[in-house]
Amino acid sequence: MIEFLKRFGLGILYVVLSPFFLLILALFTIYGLGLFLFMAVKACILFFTGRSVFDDMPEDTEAKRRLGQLVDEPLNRPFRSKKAVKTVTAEPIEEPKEIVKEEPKEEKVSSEPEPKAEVEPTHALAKPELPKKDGEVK
Amino acid sequence: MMPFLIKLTENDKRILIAICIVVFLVFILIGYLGLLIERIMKRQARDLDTSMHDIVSTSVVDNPRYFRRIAFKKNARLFYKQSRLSFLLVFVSVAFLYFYLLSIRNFDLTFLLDYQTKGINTLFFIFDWPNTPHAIFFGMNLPSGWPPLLSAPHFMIEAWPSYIFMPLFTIGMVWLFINIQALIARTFRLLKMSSDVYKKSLDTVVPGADFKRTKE
Repeated sequence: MIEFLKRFGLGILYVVLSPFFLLILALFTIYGLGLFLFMAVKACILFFTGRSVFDDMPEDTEAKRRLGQLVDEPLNRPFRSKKAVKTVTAEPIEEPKEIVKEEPKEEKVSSEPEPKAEVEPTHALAKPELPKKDGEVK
Repeated sequence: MMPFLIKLTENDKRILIAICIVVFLVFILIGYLGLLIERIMKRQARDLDTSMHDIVSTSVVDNPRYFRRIAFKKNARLFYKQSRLSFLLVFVSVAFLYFYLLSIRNFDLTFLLDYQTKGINTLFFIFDWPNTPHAIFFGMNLPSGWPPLLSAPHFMIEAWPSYIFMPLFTIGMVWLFINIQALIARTFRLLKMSSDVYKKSLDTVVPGADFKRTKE
């Protein structure tokens, strides 16, 4: 019941404030139309210079670089504009290498003889000859 | 006031209670409608969070003013991206109407809402609202019945320009207003977050937590 009363109060408040909401909507409509026209003109200009209005901003590129997500732009994103490629620093990020401690090797002392290394077979079947071409002299 | 209330019959009291309940329900409905719009706007505002998160988390943007500048640019891009199709619909519909009116050499737009032969209203029920039956109640002239029907839905081939223009234009405009609502939601969100993100609080601070220990 309290929830209903709260909604009832808010309903009255919305009705009272509705002219201000409509005013904000009207102002943003004018702003939005202006913004759209500006962005459309900008997109046209950028299109003829080989770029796009939706390219990464320099801040995005920097953020990606810091996150370690930077990848080889020309290979993985071929449809991006040249600007995006230019802004990217192509330096590869070196990952820290793990230092592996070398453990001292234990010398095996055994009476058994070491197994002999396998010798490649020398008979003719081991290396089959390629079929001779016509006219070839052995 | 009291003698007037005492004079009310039982039937009048019932009607009075019914009117109060209807008014109460209407305001509750408006309250819930406001809640719905609020939730939709919160969801629409999250698009900005997605595009600004990495920039803020990596400290590329490190002060409220810079945040607002970048966020406004991203907001404009998002609005342009979302509104292209709706603008196209509105543009195509208006261009179509303009060339149609040019071809018939008559720029009178009243035919668009005509309900008899040429308008979009041929497809809807049209009621005669001015002739709604009324009754006097507590000295007030209130509607007491459903208005008479003027026109039932019927298809008219002469109304084809209205059938093309009105749906395209209406869809485009509604879509555009939804995008403008999203623009408003994101703008308020970025103005709020530009101060909130960089705000520091002493409620949660741990003394010396930002210094690294160098000696045990």
